[in-house]
Amino acid sequence: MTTATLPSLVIVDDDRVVAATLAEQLGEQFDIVGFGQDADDAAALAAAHAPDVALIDVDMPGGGVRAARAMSRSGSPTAVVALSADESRDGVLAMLAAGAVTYLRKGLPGHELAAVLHRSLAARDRLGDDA
Amino acid sequence: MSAPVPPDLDSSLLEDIGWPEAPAARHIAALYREQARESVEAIAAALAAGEAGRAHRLAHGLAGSSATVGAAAMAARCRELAHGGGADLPAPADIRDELTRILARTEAAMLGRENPGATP
Repeated sequence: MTTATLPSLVIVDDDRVVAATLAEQLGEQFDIVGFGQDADDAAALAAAHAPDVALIDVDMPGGGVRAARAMSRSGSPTAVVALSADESRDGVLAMLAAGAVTYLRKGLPGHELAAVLHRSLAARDRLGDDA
Repeated sequence: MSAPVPPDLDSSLLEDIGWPEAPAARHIAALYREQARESVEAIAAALAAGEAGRAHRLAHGLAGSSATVGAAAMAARCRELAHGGGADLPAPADIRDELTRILARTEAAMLGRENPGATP
């Protein structure tokens, strides 16, 4: 299978178990172009790859909010999807305000996760068409 | 009505990525077990040092990795710890014992699937 037509994805999470599992869950439906472990990595990955989607851990070093802001300001068309162990109201609102398009709780099955990412991409494309 | 007790291991998440046969999935399960053991000790150490914020952050992290691999009981307990206030911090030895027991059950469930013929 070629990866040429797959949407590009970066995964930014400082937990090795989470990052490795996400890669296994999503590797057949997305072209994973980079991994990072903190907010600085997220900004660098956005600049280097302008990925279609970025999965961003909310609680990594530097903070998911800072990472999402950096990606939003970079001008890349990346759909930022926030990922966390819980769904605290404050955390959700902060990530959405920083530019994330949606917020997911860790522990989703791969097919559900992939479906959310594809929907996020579609929403990004619709917004782009309207701009 | 009380909430249902989460299982020690919801294996469907790992099975989705080929566990227990796929080497990559087995590696993830082994990495989880190693990382979780370290996190349990670190949480207890943070509590012993009176570093509640650090203990909460570590518990939050362990909740995330546990949820990711289907270690549901550990994930649920760590979410509770992560949201616990400073006034009702558990005793370090108690929390180490409790998390160690949960992890031991989770490990047994994983290893039982990975090595079905092995004697416990």
